[in-house]
Amino acid sequence: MKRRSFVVLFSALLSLTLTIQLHAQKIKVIVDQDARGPATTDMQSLLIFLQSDKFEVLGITTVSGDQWMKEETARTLRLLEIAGRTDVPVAEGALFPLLNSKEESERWEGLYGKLGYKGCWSDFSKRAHVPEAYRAGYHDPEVVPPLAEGEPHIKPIDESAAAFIVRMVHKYPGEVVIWAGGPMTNIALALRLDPQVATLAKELVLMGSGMYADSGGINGVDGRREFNWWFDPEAVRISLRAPWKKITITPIDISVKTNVSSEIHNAIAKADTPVARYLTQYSEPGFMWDELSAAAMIDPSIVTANKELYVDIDIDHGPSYGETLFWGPETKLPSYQRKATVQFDVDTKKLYDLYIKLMTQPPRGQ
Amino acid sequence: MSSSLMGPVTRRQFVTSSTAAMVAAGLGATAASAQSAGAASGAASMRVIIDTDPGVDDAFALLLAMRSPELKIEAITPVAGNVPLSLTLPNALRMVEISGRTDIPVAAGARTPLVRRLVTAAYAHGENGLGGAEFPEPKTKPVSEPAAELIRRIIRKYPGEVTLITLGPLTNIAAALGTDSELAGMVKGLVMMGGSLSGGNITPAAEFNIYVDPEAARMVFQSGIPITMVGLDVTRKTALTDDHVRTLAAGKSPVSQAAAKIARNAIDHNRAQGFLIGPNMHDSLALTAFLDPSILRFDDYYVDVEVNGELTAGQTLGYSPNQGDLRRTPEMQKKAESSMVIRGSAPTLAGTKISPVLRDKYIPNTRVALDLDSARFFELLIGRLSN
Repeated sequence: MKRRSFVVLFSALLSLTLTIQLHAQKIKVIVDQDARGPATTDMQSLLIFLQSDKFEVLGITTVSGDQWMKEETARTLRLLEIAGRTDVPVAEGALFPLLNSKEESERWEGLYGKLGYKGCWSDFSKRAHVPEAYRAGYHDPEVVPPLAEGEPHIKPIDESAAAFIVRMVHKYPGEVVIWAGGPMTNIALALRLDPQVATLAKELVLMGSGMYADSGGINGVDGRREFNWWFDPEAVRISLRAPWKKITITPIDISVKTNVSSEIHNAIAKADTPVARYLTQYSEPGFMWDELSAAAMIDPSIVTANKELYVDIDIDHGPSYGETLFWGPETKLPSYQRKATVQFDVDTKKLYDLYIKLMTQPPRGQ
Repeated sequence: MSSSLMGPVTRRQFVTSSTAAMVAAGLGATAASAQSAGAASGAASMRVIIDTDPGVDDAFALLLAMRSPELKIEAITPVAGNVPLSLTLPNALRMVEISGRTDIPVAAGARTPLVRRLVTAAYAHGENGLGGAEFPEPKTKPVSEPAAELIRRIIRKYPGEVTLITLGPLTNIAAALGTDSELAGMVKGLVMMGGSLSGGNITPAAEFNIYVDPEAARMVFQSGIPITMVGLDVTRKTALTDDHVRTLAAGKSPVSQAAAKIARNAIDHNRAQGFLIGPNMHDSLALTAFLDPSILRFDDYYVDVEVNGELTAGQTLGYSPNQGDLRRTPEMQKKAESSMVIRGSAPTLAGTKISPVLRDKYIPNTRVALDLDSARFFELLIGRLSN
């Protein structure tokens, strides 16, 4: 009797250990996203996190950028329902950047020229071919227009994005990767709520900045004015100077080497899952800005060339507001400048194969 | 509590809403009397959170607040400023213990300004922040919540009731506002010690609290919260004297004794630094603007903060539509209300749609203290502390 209970206990312990190990192999990630929808690069990268069993998504935090945060939150909640992942909590983040504003951007344009893309401050509804995500045009910050993909039935949690980030890095010290696919307002605020966020997190991975690219920047000329970073430059300054263990950056330099082509679209259209149907209906060709950043966390060999660079941002409220600053790794700089691993080249076949596989697979079990 | 009760206020929309409030109150100085009437109308409207960086005059303001029975102090939230958080936090806890008010939650705030490196004013407040006056280590502990989260939670618990009294850099308030876009619309008001429309103290342009975190200050000024600014324009006229110290020293309570000790040390510290007068009671005057607004004279201004300047970073800039030869006619005021707010300097290039008459676009967001009755102020401060 005694021996039997020991065996039972032992095997229970063993299976528990195995479960923990299996769990431990997963990347605990907080996905911070300016989730314009439906089926933009923002949503497609969210789907990578939701569909891949490599991740344990602790939560999704929304932030204004490509769209206003309130609408993004509704689109994200709906996406979770479509992907069968209503187990993932969503926390609402910043509705406004720290200092930058629609008014300031318009003043900037009056002084220095038109910006090609301004996210939630843009209005593309009058153009000839308008994807669903841009059809409604500009609306005020609190407005949530009717969603083509359907209204969500679930709700965000009753905690701010910044507070959620603080709570998670304390709950799993040293384990949490913070992935940022949009402006960095929530991360900056989390750092000011609790400076330990940087040292308790495992890594900061982000899509943003631009270095040498001659396309992909938001005024069509200068690749160093990249949208995510330009939208809230002060938040980038706060985030990039914090003492993270590791920073990995997906800049536009590598994004512009990728494309959601009609081949990819057609391959996904062959599958008959809610996710594939959603993508087939709403996805448009375009650079895989955020998808690449997310996919490289699953398979790092997707990125074939990296550079170690010191990276920062210009926060002078003049012509260079929001432009990426960077220096070579040997540069002698003050100790507050941080080095980041910056991705520069991509194995597109690997990326596309992985993307199609994830987007056509059946919904993940909860 | 539903935010729709208060109506969400965005940075863009507050312009119209604050204008509506102003029109309702009758343009001009009547805003001051409206607030004092509100303050007297019941205990609920006297709920405050004190955000502070003690600091000699902060310590005085905290002692005054805890000796003011009409206040309902929901929290004290220290922030890095006059001295680092490692000192402002225990100093705040010391004041709470001296006042026998350890029931008030004290939450640790930001260690650094939002974007910039911390600049302190140990030259004015002594290395320990209390002019060198020594007090035992506090036994009371801060609550575990970060200050910005506690501020947010209390405001949401009492929407429309809480006034923020800010005596230091505005980092904690900015962090709370940044995380919660509905919060500004739920705050009753914000009374700050900070800024100046007549030159600075840490630089020729900037007052210390704003200079330490100009970015946070701009977020607050543009938040839509009704702001009362008690800046150097009036706080320069609040120097502590030896007479005040004698009155405090004669008081029997621990609060009076502690105030006398800090005052004595601070005056000595000031003399040793070569200053001709005792330290100004900046923060106590800001608190007084809430306790008894009739001691000060106010007018409405549009105030913004320079976050860029080479020589002027942290400067508060004020424009009044009520004063001087730029005074608006009712027609001009109506036009200003219906147009979009413009921020920043004038365009330098042709081809912009921005109106050349930029001043017509600025709508007051702040009640600025312009003068005070010093005698009545010290009567209230020294009277309450020594009583």
